[in-house]
Amino acid sequence: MSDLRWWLSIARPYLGYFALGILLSVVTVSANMALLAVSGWFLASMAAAGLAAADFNYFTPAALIRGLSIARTGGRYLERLVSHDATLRLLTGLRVWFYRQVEPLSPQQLQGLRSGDLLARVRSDIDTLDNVYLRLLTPAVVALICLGGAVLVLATYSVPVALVNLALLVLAGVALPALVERLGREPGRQGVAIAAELKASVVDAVEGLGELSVFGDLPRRRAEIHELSRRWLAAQARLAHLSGLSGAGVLLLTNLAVLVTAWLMVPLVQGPGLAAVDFAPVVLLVMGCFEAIAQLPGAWQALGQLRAATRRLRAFETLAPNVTDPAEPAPPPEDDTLCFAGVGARHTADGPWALTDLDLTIAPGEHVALVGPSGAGKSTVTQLLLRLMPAERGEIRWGGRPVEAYRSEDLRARLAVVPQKIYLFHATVRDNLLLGNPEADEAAMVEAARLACLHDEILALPEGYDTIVGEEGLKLSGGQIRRLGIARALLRDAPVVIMDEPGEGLDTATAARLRANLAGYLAGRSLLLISHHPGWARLAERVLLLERGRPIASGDHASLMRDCATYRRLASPGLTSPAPLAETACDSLPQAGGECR
Amino acid sequence: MRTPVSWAIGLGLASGVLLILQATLLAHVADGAIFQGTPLATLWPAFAGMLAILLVRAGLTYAVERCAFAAAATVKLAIRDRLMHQLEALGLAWQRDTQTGDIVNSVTDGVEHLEAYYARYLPQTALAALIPLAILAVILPIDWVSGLILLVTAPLIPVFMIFIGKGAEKLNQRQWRRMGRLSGHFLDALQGLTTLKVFNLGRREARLIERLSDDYRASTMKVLRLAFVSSLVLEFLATVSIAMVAVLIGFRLLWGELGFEAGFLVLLLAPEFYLPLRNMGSVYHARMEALGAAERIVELLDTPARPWSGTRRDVRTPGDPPRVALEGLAYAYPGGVQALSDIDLTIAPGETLAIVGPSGAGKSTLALLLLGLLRAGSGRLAVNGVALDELDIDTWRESLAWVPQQPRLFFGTVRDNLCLGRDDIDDAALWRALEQAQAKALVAALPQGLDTPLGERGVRLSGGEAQRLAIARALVREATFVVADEVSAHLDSDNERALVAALETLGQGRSLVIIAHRLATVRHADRIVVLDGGRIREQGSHQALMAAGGLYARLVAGADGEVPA
Repeated sequence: MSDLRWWLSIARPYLGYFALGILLSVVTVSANMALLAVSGWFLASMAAAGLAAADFNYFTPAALIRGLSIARTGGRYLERLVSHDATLRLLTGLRVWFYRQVEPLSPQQLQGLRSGDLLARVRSDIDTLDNVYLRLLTPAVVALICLGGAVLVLATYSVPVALVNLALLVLAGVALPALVERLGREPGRQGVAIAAELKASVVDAVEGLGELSVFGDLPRRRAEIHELSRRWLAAQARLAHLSGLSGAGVLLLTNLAVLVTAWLMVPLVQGPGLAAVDFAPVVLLVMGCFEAIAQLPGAWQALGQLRAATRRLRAFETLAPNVTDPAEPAPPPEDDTLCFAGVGARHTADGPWALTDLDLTIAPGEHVALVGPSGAGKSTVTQLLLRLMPAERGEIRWGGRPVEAYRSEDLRARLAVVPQKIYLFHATVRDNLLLGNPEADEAAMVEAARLACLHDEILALPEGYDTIVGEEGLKLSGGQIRRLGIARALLRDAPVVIMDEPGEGLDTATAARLRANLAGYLAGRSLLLISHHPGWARLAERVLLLERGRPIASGDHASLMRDCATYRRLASPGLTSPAPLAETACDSLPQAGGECR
Repeated sequence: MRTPVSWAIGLGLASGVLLILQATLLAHVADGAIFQGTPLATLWPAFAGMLAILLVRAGLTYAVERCAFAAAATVKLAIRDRLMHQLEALGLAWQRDTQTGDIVNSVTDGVEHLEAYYARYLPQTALAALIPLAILAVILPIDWVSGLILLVTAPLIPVFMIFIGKGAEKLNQRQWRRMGRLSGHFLDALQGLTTLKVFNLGRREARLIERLSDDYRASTMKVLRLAFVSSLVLEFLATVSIAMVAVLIGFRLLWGELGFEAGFLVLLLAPEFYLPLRNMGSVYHARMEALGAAERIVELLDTPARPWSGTRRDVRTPGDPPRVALEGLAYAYPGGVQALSDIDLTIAPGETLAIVGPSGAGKSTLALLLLGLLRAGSGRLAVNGVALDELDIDTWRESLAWVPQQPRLFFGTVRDNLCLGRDDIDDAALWRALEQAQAKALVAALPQGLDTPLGERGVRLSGGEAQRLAIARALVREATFVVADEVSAHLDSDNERALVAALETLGQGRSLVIIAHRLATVRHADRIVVLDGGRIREQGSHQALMAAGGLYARLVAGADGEVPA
């Protein structure tokens, strides 16, 4: 119930539309019930009048039948329109709500969202919440109102008939579906678990096809998948069994209601209280009632799904952003001196240190390179500057103030970043470029593309700057994606530039041209460069060598190549040199207990 | 599969016939109660009959559901098995161009979608034809006027359904595509959230999602206003026909042309006449979904495969490394990209051979050909003088081990991953292999040692660590011919040293082909083969190649920046 309350709080802006949809649904369903009853009464009365050769005012019931037919079909049409409109409005609301929940979270907190699996689940969970109105709220409320009304009408004929039907309706519409839902929970849960296992097994078999073939393990995998498939069917068979029982139960109760009603009505209509013709409308009204509960079993299932979906989505609600803006932020920095003093950071509270004891000052306009093997903590430095994660130890200052004093957006506005993994949105090349600066004009955009040595290649694409790229769009080469990422950052015209492996995937000639273009652009801007390639490292005046989160040497490219074997090993492309044994200690690092001035 | 579907239809039809019988009894009771003044004492056999009928119908309802399920279950199990066999037959060559997710979806959810077709669409379609006919057969003799109305309107329903459905389907499909795009945009925004934040566009995106979503709503509603007209017409047709039947019967009752019992029976049956037809609308959707899934599955099953068919098992001498000869070998990927041409190469028993070359030179393709994971387009690959095409491929694979560049850690424990394909290995042997692969400390440090779960839902290992486990896996197997694809990432010094040492152990007493990215590995190799553009450019020892000053010397020197393209 608390899930439903939570849902209602999110759906609040749309409750008006929901109410209208439910009202129309009530009109439709009650028109249907009334149509049955009136037809029965009309027939019986006409037959009675025929037998008695009496006169009968058939205009009113005939008109009523026509009117109810129109109300029923018209109401249904309008109800479907209104409820779909409301559902779509709610979908918008839910998506924006979810997006706002996750937007402030850090990349680590969002890690799961990058995997397609979790993403697909978020989508289906949101769809589940969206369906609550159509599948749960509407049938439940409509059944309550219409059946309440019908039972009252029955009571005007006979209280025992009304009570018996009330009891059978509650059994068929509430007790039976609730019982089936409860009994189905365990096989349902098993089914979901087995399905996940099957999926994992198939993924393993498909992605590991080569290894499994070579190691002769495929027949066993196939048998395993067959077995999982069989177990999944067994769980589904239990659900089919339940659904068969529930279908049989509803049929039994429905017809029993008609039977009992007829049994009770026979003596009543032959007695003094009721007219003989009343038999027909009462029996037909009872039939109508049971048509109205047809959707209730689905509603119970929806309730179960709501519970699961809510639990998963609300888990995001409880995640606190690990970087928050100060209540009274300092004005944006005017001076771009960046200073790390004794900085340490971890990606998770109990994980290993991704970075420790980093002391580094980058003066405005200075170019510094970070070099190190994978897992050395280079990207962590980027994330710290972007305020995507906080420093756990030490201090990072920007323009003399700790970074925590500023609004994150003010700092990001001064940064242009080329990350190692460049994400392209499923949109045009133009849209992807303009992410760097949505206000940039055509000329500025083309200029940035030219600088990144990409303009000519974009023009060669099927629709030039309007070509759709991204996962489902045109596949760009690794080098093109990288340069698109660079152009996007250049367009930003920011005083501090961070580039992570800008040369990856580029051929020698293009890389050289790009470096030449960038040299001019970077003059006067600060640069933090992450790259192994000596050609790129030479762009920097100073190189800092990191290994396992710790700075181990610093100096210019030439001196490190001369003195430091670890650096030499990393800097040589293609076939890398043998690992250093005890060769050279790269101790050119000043052991300053660094402090920012 | 045919039998359970037929049973479902047969039992459904039986239930329909019983329904007619039940309505007849009810009409009889109604007539007795209202017009004949028959007391309960006389009417009770009719009540008893109805009670019996409804008990049987409840049983039939249950049985239909089970039969329908059984029909779908048989099909689902069989198709999944066939898909897995087909995947194996298609092998790696085909997989290269296909998205994993796509295949996985076909095998899991795709097959599930078939259920609706077998369990609901097939039986419903048959019943939608049979039950109305049965009802008509009852109504026509007792009241031909009503029968005529039903007879005339009934065909209109499917006709309208098809007629309107065609147009609506087109509109719907366009709307579905839009829906897909919109939903795609939302997921895209979530996936690229960090990028948006980096560019300070996080907040703007929320507004964008709202605007696009709302545009979509407006356009959808425009479509739905029209699309719902179709169901409006259908409902209207059914409702008006029933109302017409009711009114006409009423007048004939008034004029004494028809008995109440007959009239009331027709009124009871008229809605049941339209019900199966109207249900068709909902199962039609299930059919569309199933057809979509089936299309993909059939496409997979119909892709021509080229499985190995050799049968000779007499070539291998256990324990001794084989002599492998490649003569004029060439390979082109489906789609025509020539990956390798004119490869002539002999790998002597026990030799360590390093293959180097720029990316895209065909190194990995050569490795896959050696492993029998791809089949050469032309030329010959011979093991101890016998062509691989004639060999039973499993016999060849029994002497093989493979260390891929990114080894797949399967869902399961460290032990499961090490014993891949074997189940007769004790822990002592495993630890020995781990030690030789420089991975003993690594596994010992894991929370549950050999029983630590790995894979997507288990402990994650770095590239270097995963490769050392893969080397241990190769050592566990009594392989005599090993192919190893080194990690190309920049490793830290400890990882790097461990990996080089592990590969060296792997080369002892076995033939070893290494796709090398490290100078240390290459120096230790007996021979280095340099590939470029799918051809062997040069081969020889490190010293000889350095002295020759060719591509290899340039790769090693390559001091200036990037790997040549």
